[in-house]
Amino acid sequence: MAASFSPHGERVSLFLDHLEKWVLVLLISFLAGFAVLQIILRNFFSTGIVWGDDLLRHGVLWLSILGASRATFEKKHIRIDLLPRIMPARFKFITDIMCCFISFLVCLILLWASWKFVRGERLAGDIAFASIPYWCLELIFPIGFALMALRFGFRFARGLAGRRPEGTEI
Amino acid sequence: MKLLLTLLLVLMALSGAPLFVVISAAALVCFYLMGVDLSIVIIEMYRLAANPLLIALLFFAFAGYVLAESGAGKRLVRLSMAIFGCIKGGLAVVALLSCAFFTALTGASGITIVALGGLLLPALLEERYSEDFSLGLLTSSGSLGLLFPPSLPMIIYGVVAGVSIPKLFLAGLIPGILLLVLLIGYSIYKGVRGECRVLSFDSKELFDTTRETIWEIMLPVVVFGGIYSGFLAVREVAVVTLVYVLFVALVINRDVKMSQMPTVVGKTVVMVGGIIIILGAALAFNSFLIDQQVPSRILFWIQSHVQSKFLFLIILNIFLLLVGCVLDIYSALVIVAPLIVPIAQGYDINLLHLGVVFLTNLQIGYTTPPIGMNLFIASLRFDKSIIRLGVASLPFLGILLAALLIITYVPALSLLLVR
Repeated sequence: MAASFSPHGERVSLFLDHLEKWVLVLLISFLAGFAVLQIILRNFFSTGIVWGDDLLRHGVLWLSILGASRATFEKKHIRIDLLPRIMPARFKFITDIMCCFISFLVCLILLWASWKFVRGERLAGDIAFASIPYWCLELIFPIGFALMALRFGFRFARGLAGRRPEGTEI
Repeated sequence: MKLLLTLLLVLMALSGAPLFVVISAAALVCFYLMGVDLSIVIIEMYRLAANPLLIALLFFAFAGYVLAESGAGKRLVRLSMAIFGCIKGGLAVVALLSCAFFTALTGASGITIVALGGLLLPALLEERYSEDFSLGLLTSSGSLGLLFPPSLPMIIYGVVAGVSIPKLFLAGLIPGILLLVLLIGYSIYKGVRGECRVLSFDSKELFDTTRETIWEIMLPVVVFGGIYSGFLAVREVAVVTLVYVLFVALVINRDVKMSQMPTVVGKTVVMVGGIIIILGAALAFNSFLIDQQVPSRILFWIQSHVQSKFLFLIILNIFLLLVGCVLDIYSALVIVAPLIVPIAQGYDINLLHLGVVFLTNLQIGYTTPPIGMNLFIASLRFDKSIIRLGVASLPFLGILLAALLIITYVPALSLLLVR
């Protein structure tokens, strides 16, 4: 965690941010392009890629989980936050740190659960399509929860160090 | 012990922990106490990848964000001003129609107030509408249009309740128009009484704005034609809509630049991801509830106290209004709908009708304190206190509630077009 306080850590975090944004753009362009191709094939050539739908659905899953991880970074997760609105600012800071810590823990448990899930699927060894096994497609769960756990962890550590958490308030 | 854990989770939710964390935690705790291996939570979440409608959600949302980024809102307002500006109370009609149109396409996430509010408020004030009326109108119409296709909350309801999206869109049409007509009637009444100024009719302006807006006007045709022509599935219509919107914005009107795309994609993905991760967590938690037969036990309990469908619907409305006060529309749908659907079926309520009632309630919840999102966004946008906006919205809330009663107790409104 200490790395997050050094300029080095900041740069890594910024680099990851850019990388993620571009991965998202590429992924969504690919999905849209692929979906258009499917429509054209189906309507004009009465054919189609059999596993195309499976690919699209998994693509949306990947995008969603990466999006959720981004929402963690931008502090844009859907939440109720009734108490912080009526409490004085100092308490608000404390609830914020508490929430980050609990979210960090929950994401760690989810990471562990998804790791077990993927390992089990790997042993089963079912193939999804184009000789890609299912467990590869399911890797997004451990990846996503690891990213989210990291981000909540960073924010918690920053909060403890007395700095304003990164990201914008909505 | 169980009570303590429940309290802890509620406290977490209220202090602003992300909802997906709270629901996942609930699912993890429940399955842990049952002695089930925790990877079950992920197995349930993975059911997300089996639903083709989430593709539609993603692409419609993307199209909406591109539209919001473009000058479509401004053009729309200009066009409707050219049409309705010359009648008394016409400007309020302009505001209502363009807000409804815009919200249907962008999914009420506050974009409407941000994109159109700043444009419409000065215009309304200039035409001598009272400030309270104008603020109330714009605040409450930030979620108007949720019942029109391709509304994102409707797609989510379709996913959760397992009903056909094309039918659901049809079911929402007449109730949506009813809401609009009632609000328009009130606005014209206010406009006529309030000595508002009227623009003179300008045929050249009408022609110009129509030509300018033609691509956006065609958008409903693309969406409707796509869904009801029978050639395309809903998710394919979403793709076609996206391609159309992108083409218009990037190539024809050129009011969105390629360099803005990463930001637009970022916004889309954050919103869609935020919704879908909650849906995933809710899938896990609900599978626990269903395993424990919670919905059927609630149904049994309610049926032993409430015999008539009439009374049940009243209770449902009150409950949903309360839910709408504390939860935003997406989490409310994802968390509450799976529990309500089997209960409503026990009372022989059509699921399409239920969906329309659900969405109308939650739409009203957008403008009610303490967590009405419209109030917060409008308060930021117009720089007015939330209390002031809440009071200004009261007449409009009254009308919406009246419409809700009609929609609830006249199921034919929702089911007329479906049969």
